[in-house]
Amino acid sequence: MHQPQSQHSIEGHSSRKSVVQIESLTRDYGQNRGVFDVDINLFAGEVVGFIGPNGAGKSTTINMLTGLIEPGSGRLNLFGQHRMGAEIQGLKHRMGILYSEPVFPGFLTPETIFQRNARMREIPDSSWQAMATKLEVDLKRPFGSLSLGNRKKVGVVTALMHQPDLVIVDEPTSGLDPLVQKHFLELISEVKDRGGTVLLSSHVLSEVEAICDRIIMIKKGKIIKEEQTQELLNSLPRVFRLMNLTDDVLQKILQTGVIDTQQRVAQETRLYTQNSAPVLAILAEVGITDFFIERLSLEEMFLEYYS
Amino acid sequence: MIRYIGYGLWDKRKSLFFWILVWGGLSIILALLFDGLSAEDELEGVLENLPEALLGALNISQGYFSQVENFVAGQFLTLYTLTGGVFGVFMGVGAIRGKIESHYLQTLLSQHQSRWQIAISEVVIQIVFWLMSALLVGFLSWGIFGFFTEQESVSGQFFFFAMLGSLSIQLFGLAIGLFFGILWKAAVAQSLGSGLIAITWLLNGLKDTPGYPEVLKLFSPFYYFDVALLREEFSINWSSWWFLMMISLALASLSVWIFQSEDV
Repeated sequence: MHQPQSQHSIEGHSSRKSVVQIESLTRDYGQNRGVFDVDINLFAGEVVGFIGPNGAGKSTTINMLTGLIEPGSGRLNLFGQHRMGAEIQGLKHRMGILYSEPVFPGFLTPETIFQRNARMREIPDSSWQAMATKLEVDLKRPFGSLSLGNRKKVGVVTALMHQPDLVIVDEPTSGLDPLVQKHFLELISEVKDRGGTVLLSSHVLSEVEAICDRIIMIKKGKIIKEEQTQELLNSLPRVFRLMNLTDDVLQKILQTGVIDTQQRVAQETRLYTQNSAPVLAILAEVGITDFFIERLSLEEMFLEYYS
Repeated sequence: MIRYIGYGLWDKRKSLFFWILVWGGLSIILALLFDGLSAEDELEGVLENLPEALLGALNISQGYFSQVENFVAGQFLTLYTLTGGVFGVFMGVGAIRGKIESHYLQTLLSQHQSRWQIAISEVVIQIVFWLMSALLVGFLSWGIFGFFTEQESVSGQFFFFAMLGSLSIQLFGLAIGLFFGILWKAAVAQSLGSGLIAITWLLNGLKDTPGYPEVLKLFSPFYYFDVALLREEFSINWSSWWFLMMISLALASLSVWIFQSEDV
């Protein structure tokens, strides 16, 4: 039912600079675990959401992309260079990676961590200071005594301090309070504004919907959908929510043939359709004005795809 | 890479300090104990009646209660070498496998230094740690045994070679820890590595027992640090020392090489 639409989605990108080109990447752990024939293209100046349930293959794909694990087969081009596995290390100065749970030695303070990172990357301390202030990082407390949210802030600063061209983030905002989430999403937008590329793996679909230009969905190790976010959202069904709808009006609406699915929840009737106009016309004709119309959310679509 | 090594060594300063503190404290206790024992004249006579094999197994010899160097070889050095070997295993496992399991290696690899650089830096950090330990513990214990015992002079040469011999065992432990850590999970590698050190130490103690298989001696790292030679001539067998160092180097190199394609 749902076919990958990578060809469709990369149309219009042909003139843009390719940053990541993954072709038929496979890592088979046996028993249908792993990723299989994954094709992903990322271009300069875009934020791409990478979504899928736990165990779908997101982390395996990201780990191959970041050189932590060796692909079984396939091809990986980063910044126009063919690199696989440990060879990717040579490009890390252009990459910023934030794992879901950043780990540093517990006795180091964030200030020491940032200073060391800056020196290792041969960049000035000013590269992290503004960002640390914006995210309100507690610089003096040992990393081991920080909460998950505060540890994540440390990870965000170290991932972004060197102004990378490619940012890969895994569950970036889980554990962050709403204000810091907002600051983080602003930082991601800044990466995009200066022409950088972001691959964002997340379960928080509202943030994917809000900041991603494109969405790639993975299921059981295979890419099942890839589309521009706006196109995807526009293609989602509208939901009419009506209270105390009589059977004869419902029959009249169903006779239009535009309703994909109907649901009754207590007194409420929900009608799912790709074509709102005939339904609106009938409701106007019978004089029903007390109803809601909304677009199916990305989350509901996610559930539909993965359930 | 130099920075990485510098940070790694700086972070180990507390471990080194406590390690030296422990051995300094133990040196004082043993030095005082030696003074007490050396005052008991009949103890030396007891040793004369014990079989050579048993004396060898206990790492002691004639003069054990009357000469500081003999006493140190039997007591302090045995403890220092054995615990150093086991501690070396733990540090070796922690150098790579520990960082993989704690996910710290993910963070390290998110920077631009290569796996080679990280692994070699980790090995260099551990080697420098053990070198500094040998140097500082050697000087400290030499000073303590000289100061707290009534023996006229304590040989600096003895302590130098004692520490050098121990260093070869500790670095062997480190290499075993690295190698086992590449092959197995941290907990398994630590158990197997420290078990190997302990068992080979026990077996080496029995090597002079009649009927002990000659070939088995060769499989104990402790065989290559001849404490009897140290005790008698204040020296070590250089070819044995280099052989063990080369084995350790080969194991460490193999581990670093396997690590290049290891999933993190």
